[in-house]
Amino acid sequence: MLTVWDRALIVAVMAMAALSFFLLPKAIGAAGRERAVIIQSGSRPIQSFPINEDRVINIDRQDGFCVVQVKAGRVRVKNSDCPKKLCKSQGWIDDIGEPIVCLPHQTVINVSSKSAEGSKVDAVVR
Amino acid sequence: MKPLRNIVWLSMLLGVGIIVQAVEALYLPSLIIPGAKLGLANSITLLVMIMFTWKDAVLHVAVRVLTVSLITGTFLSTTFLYSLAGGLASTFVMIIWLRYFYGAFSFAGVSLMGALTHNITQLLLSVLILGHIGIMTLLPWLIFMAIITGVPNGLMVNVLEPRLEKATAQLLNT
Repeated sequence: MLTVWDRALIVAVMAMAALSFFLLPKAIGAAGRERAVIIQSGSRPIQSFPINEDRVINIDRQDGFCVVQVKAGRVRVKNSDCPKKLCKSQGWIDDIGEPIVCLPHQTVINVSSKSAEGSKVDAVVR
Repeated sequence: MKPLRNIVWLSMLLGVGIIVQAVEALYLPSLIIPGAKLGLANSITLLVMIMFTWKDAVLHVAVRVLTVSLITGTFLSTTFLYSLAGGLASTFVMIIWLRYFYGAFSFAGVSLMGALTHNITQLLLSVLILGHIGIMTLLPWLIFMAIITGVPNGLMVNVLEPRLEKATAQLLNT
């Protein structure tokens, strides 16, 4: 029933499956672990930084200020002059899908990633 | 105008293809990974391109996908897009494989190439539609699934095809 070439093809395809099984996670992982911090004002992204470089960002708006700190692969709002300080009390974030929102200033701090690889969430719907 | 006999055969094969795909889509659970199916309809497509021309096979797939999408209520949805893209891509690869490599490979090899193309096309399309490279993680599984669905389908065609040829020959003689 199966010719020699059929068998060869089956073996080749199995090898392909095995090869991709071992090589793909590395290829995807490398692209996926590049995380960035994106700061949005309203729906408009205003600034973007790599998450693995420590820095402090001051966001000054007419209606107030917001101090964002990036440290050791995490982000938080260090200080803000908004009344309830919800953004500040959220603490550190380091994963996609958990944005910090400072509603009075319409400021959103998000972690972005090309892939959910190594993330706590499975996928993000856009 | 095609002979009446051809039209009857093509209609019957189309009917079988539609029923098989619709029943699979509606009543059979996914195999191992989400969205993986037996792909029995693919073997019917293979029969069409063996017994008739490659144009008939392309038309067969287009009409089958359209009709099944109407049955399952997925017409013009992304499911329909996946189905059409996978179906047409695998059909074209099988046509080429059948024309140039049949002999060295049996229908099982042709069917395996079709299943492989179908799965990879749908995966690439889903990366495009969902904009998320992480879906590629499914690739090894889908390649593996192509073997365990494509080869049995092809083996079935290996058995069916000579019998169908014999049946048509008998019909012509009487």
